[in-house]
Formats: sequence, structure tokens, C-alpha cells
Amino acid sequence: MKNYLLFGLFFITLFSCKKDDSAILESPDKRLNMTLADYEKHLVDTEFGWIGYLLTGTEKVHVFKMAFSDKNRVNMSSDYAKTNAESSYILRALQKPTLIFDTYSTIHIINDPSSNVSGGEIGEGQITDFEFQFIRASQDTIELEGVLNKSKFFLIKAKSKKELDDSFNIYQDIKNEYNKLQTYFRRVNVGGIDCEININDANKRFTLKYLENDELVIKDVNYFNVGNRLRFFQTIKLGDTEINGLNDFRYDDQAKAVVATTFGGKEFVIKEETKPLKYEVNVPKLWIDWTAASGYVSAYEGFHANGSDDGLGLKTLAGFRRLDFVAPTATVSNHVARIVASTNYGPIFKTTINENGIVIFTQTGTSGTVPSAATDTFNKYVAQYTQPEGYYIIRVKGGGTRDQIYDMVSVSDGKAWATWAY
Amino acid sequence: MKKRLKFVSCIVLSLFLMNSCKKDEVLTADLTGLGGEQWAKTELDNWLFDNYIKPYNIEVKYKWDRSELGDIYKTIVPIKEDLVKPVMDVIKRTWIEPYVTVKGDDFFKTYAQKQFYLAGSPSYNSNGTVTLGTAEAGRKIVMLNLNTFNASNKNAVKQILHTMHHEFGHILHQNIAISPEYQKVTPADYTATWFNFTDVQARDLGFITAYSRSNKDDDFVEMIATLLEGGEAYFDNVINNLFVKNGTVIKRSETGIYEKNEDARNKLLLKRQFVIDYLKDKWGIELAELQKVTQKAIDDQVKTPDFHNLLGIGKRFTSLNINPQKVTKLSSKFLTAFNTANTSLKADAKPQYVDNITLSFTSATRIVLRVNTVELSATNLNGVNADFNFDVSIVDGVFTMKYADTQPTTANYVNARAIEGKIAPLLNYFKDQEFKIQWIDNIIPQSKEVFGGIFKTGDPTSYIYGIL
Repeated sequence: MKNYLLFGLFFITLFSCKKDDSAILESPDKRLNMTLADYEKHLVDTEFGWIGYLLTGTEKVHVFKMAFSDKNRVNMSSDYAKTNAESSYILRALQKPTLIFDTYSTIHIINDPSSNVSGGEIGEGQITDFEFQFIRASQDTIELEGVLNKSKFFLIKAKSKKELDDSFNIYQDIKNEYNKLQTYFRRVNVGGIDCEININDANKRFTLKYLENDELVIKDVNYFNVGNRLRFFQTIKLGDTEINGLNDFRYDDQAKAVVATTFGGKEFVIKEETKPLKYEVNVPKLWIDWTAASGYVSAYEGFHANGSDDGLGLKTLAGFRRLDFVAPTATVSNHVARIVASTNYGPIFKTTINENGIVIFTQTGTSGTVPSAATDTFNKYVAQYTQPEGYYIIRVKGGGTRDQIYDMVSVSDGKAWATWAY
Repeated sequence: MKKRLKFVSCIVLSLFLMNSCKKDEVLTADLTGLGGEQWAKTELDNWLFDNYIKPYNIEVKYKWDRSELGDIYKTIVPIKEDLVKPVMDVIKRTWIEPYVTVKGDDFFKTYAQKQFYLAGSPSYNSNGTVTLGTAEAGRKIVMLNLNTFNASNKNAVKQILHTMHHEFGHILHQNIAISPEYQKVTPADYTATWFNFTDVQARDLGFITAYSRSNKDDDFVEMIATLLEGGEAYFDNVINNLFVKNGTVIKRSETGIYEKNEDARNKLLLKRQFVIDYLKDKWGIELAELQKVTQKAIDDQVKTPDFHNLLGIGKRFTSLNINPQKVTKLSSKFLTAFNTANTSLKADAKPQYVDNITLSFTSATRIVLRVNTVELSATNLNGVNADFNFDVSIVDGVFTMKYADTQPTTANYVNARAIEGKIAPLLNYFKDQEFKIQWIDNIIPQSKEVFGGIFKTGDPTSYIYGIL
């Protein structure tokens, strides 16, 4: 009996000795150092350098050229400071491996809390970063995120000297192709979900709106583009579909649509549409009230119609400055759609909003004298306004009286619109 | 027995096995970040090593490390690399070397903080103020707002030096406390909203700067910083210009004697005495000597041009105002002339007195002497200006004042005709006399750029000067 006990002791001793070395090969510190070294090698190991795209908290997209050396030095320039400057960088193991530009350089200009340097608010700069955590890295793309302000920063490996040289170009491709669509409203189907889409290339902003339980859901992201390839700073998630960017963005004449391919290889087709996805019927009333509060509101770009800006040719009128929509006054009890040019003139409209929230203009007279040279244009202008189907009013921007912006879109075909601002 | 052997052998075997379990682990591990960060050393790193680490064991950290800042959520940017050496060189010459000269290496190595952290922008605070530096636990000084530094700009050098001496003052009192009596000098006027007041308002209450009102410690180190960075003449000049005011105008007697703000003057003088005693008793440092060495170091760093290069038409200063009640050491020869003129003016049919005079360099060949007079018991304290034109030709700051043959007939010159007979001694002090534009640091030490004057070339004991 005693022997069994002794052998038991023997085996326990034997088993307690077993080391389980397979799960972890090296110490955490060693692996951390290896990871940092790998990232550094990745940054250094390029033939032409990196092109960086940074999205600031003030929603500006800035482009950088960067070349890293293995001596903790980096050469960089940016679209806002094109002269090359050398400074230092370091990779540090913080919460995650982190790339830090640790002496002052081009990227710090927009970070500077002195507003005369950064052009941002005092104490804030452009609300951006110069310390970035690695989120993920592939052979030609490194995705980073700022430590302090969570700015998104992409480093794309330049494939050629030319690509690097061209990186500060302002590409018009997206805007040009997108503007070939003629309607105000545009639709795209993403993974079975019907979305209203808007791409504002001036602000590099990409917006999708869709319905969820009959409520509008808005997904907004910023992007940067090289030629007709655009990449989002954040992933758009719609149901099961994730989109990081679009390739080969172009207008297809046959399909009368903008076609592109998502980074995932799926088709992305933007079609013309005459109706909004969901129309907010209370907005026309807000617009009328805002006009009354402002006295008059203005459309500086005239009417977009027939597929082009100023489609009615209003800007060719002698001395044209803007269109006004003037609230009723003591002398004129209806609205005046005033043309502000060398002289002021315009139709007087009785404005009604029907039960569907559609605004309909009925002419009751004319204010001022229409110059004879302007008669043709004036008639087209009145005809456009008085289309019997009327207009949608879409709120683009809310806020104080001086901040609000509304679009007025023709119901008949959705191809004519004007933008009203204070 | 056999059983017993078996038992023993089993124990031995199991012990042996247990022993074999000992892991032979390597105790040296390459811990990330341990032993300091590694980067390829540059010439700058070598310079800092030779000038700070080797002689004083002070680390100068100029590369960004958010954790070194007090508030890690603020937007601050790193220093420009090419400014690190100029900044640290100025600090070495105007802060380290004066202390070492006066008190020796050992003192400095023992008490100087062990780390500098440098950053490029200021730290903006929500109350609208900016932080330019901090000192922590006697061991570390953070210097901010260095990206605007220019080593050849005296004001930039002085600003850094002020911050430096301010923060080192904190290091000193963090080591040896200040007497609690200090805060009883101006107990009621410390305020958390010090930034809503100007330096001028603070001085009228007995504080050297607006920031001094923040708390007793900052008050004390602002005194140290101002005394060292500004120098003795600057400090004395602040004291000598504290007067009781009626609104913005200095309160004065019927005969034109300014009423001194004795309360504020005494408080500031008492605070200075506290600083002198503290440095002497606790640290064995003579303030006067440290001031002298520091001022010389600043002057060596950014050479002050000769005064004649700064005074004249199109130059930094275009006029010199002389007011005997605001300064202390005007030459007796000038004062005699001034007072004699005053005595006869006071006995005039319209009794008045000369308050101050101004020499304006209005062109390359013209100096206008403006005599400002005030009627006795006048309510209008701005007085009346009487202008006298002199022809001059200034060569290397030397000129002779020739009374112009024709004087204009505009109002100020009409005023001049009314009093010129009475103030003849004053006019004669200038007429046909040769002067040289000079600093007066031979009369008042450390007074360059605080005061500037003109000396009679034939008589160095006859001179006038004004506050710049």
C-alpha cells in the first residue's frame, strides 16, 4: 500500500514537470520589439516613398509625401506646404504600436494650437494628430488612427516616381463623372438596400441615406481619390455589406448611370431618380418662414436645368448678380421671384403648398420692367417656375437664419433645381 | 530494511526528478523602452550630451513624449529641431553659467532639476491664458512656446530666461520652503482670476506682475525672475514709477509734487528683501551678484547696440522724455538749471511750473525741445507745451544744439515766446552745447534699454536721461 502511494508521488512529480512551451514562443517584450522592427522595415522599405492621406477633425483631407529612413528620419511635404522638410520619427509601443512624428515638421503645422499657424481654433488647431496607432497594414497600404483626436491616416505606397509626383494633383474625375447624371436625386442599391446617394467632391464627402422602419438613416464618410479611384476614411457598413472604396468610377453612356466596383469587387451603380427616398413634407413651410424672417433669400448660381449649371442662361443677363425669392411686403402681398441684374425685375407668384408638401407657384403679375433683350430668358424662367407639378423643398442645412440652406427641386423630372441661401 | 531502502530510493528518485524540473531561465530580457529610447544619434544629440548630460547630468528631452506633459489631453506640438541648440545654448549661458559662477558647480549639480522637456507651442488654457512652462517636484522643468524663439532677439531671450528663472525659482522653494511671512505682505490681493488684471494694476497693489497675484509661490518666483531677467535698474524703475493716481493721471500737490504710492512701493521693497534674505540665508547666494552676472550674460548673448544707433529719426526711439520726479540720478548740473527755471516760472504773473521736458529728433538736422508746463493749482493736468527748435548735425551720436534763427509761429511756439525769458537757465543748458547720445550704465548699472541719455562732451558729470 505504501508503495502505491510512493509511486503516486513519483508520478505527480513527473507530471508537475511538464512544460507547455508550444503556445508562446517568445517573451512579450521580444515579440513587441519584433513587431516594431517589422513596422519600421515596412515603412523604410519603399522605392519611391509613401503618399499619406489625412482626414482632420475639421473635415479637411490633406495629402502628404513621406519617405522614412532607417535612422529615425523622415522627409515630408504636404499639399499645404510643398517644400520638403526633414524631421524625426519613432515607433513606440504604447497601447498599440504607434508611429510618432516626434520633432516639428510639416504635419505639425495643422496640429499647432496657435491659430495663426494652423488656421484652426486657438488651442485646437485643425483637431488632428501627429501620433498614430497602427490599425492594419498590407503590402501597399497602412491604415493608422490618431492617438489624441482619432484622425484617420492612410499611407499608400507609391508605385512609381510619377505617382508620387502627381499626388498633390487635384483630381476632378469623380466630380466630372458624377455630374453627368442629370437628376437631383440619385439612387444606388447596396446589398439589397435602396439608398439615396450624394457625393460632394468639394468637401470630399460621401453620403448614403436609406430607410429603416420608415426612418431615414444617414451614413456620412469622407474620402480621398486618385483619378477615378476613391477610398473612404471609414468603412461604410450597410446590413451585411462593407464598403471601403470604389474603383473605376465612371459615367456609362449606355446605362445612363455611374458605374464603379467596390474594393470587394461588387458592382456599384448610381442611377438617376426623380423622387426623394423619403420626402419631409413639413420642410416647405420652414422654407417659407425662413424667407419671411430673412426678408428675401438668394440663389447665386441661378437654376440648374437640362443637365447643366445655369441651364436657363440667367447668368448671361446683363449685370446678373443673383436670384432672390422675396417675402411678401406691405406693397406686394405675394412673393416676388426677383432677378437681380442691371435692373431688378421678376414675376410675382402666389405660393401654395399642397397636402403632399409640394410648392406650386402661380403668376399673378410682374414686378419691375423686363428689358426687351431679356424677354426670352425671362419667359423660360417663368415657365420653369410655374411648372404645374411644382417643387420639392429639401433642407440641406439647418441652424440660424444666416446658416440655413434649402434646395428647390422640380417634381416633373427632378432635373431642375436652385439652391437658396441667406 | 529492504522496504526502507526502497522507500529511500524512491524519495531520492523523486527528489532527483523534482530537481530536474528547475528551469534554466535567462534573466536578462530586452524590455521595450527599458534603458531609454534608442534612435540614431544626430549631431544635436551629441551636443546635448556634451553640454548638459556630461557636465550637469541634465537630460534634455526634445523629442515628443505626451506623457511628459502635465495635461495629456491638450493640443501641443513638439519643438523645431533646429531651435533646440539655440534655446539650450541661451539657457546654458544665461541661466546655468551665472549660477555656477556665483555658487559653484556643486550647488548646481545638486539642486538643478534633472530633466528639461521642450515643446514648441504654448499650452492654451480654457481661461484664455497660456502656460509657458512648468516645474515639477524639483526634478523637471517643462519649457513651452519655443518655436517662436529667435536667439538674436533680446526680448525672446529675456522671455525664455524669465520662464527659466521662474521655474528654477520653483525648484528652489520646492527644496527649501519660503518663509510663511512672505505671503503676509500682500495677503488680501491673491486671486485665481489674476489674468483679468494688467501688470500696471498688479504693481499698484504691490505685485511685480499680474501673474504674481496667482498665489504666494508664483509671486515669489516672479520676483526672482523679474529681478534676474530685468535687472536691478529695471526693478528700481518700476518702484520709482508707482504713484497715486486720479483715474489715469498722477495725483499731485498744488506745486506739482507727485504723490508716491508708498504702500505699493514698500510692499515690493519688502518682497525684494525677502528674496535677498532667502537666497542669502538658505542658499548662500548674493542676489546683487547673481543679477550682475545674469545681466552681463544676457548682454553678451545679444549685444545691445550703442544708444546713438537706436535714437533718432527712423530709429527705435525718436524722443527722450526727462521727468525729474520719475527718475533718481539726473546730474546736479541739469537739475540746477531745471529748478532755477522753475523757481522763476512759479514767480511769474501767471504762476506755473515745468513738469517735464522732451527732446524730439524730428529730422536728421532738427531737435525740438518741448517744455511742458502746468499752472499752479491747475485742474487741467495735461499742461501746456512750449516748443523750441534747435539745428543739429549728428555724427556718431555727437551733436551741438544750435538755437534755430527763425522759430515757427504756430501755437506751441507762441507758448514758447511767453516763457522763454523765465526759463533761460534751462534753455542755456542746451544752447550751443555739444552732447553725445549714450547709455547711462556708467551712472546706473544694468540700465541699458531701461534708460537712455545724452552727456555733455566736455563734462561727463553733466547729463540728462529718460525712461525708454
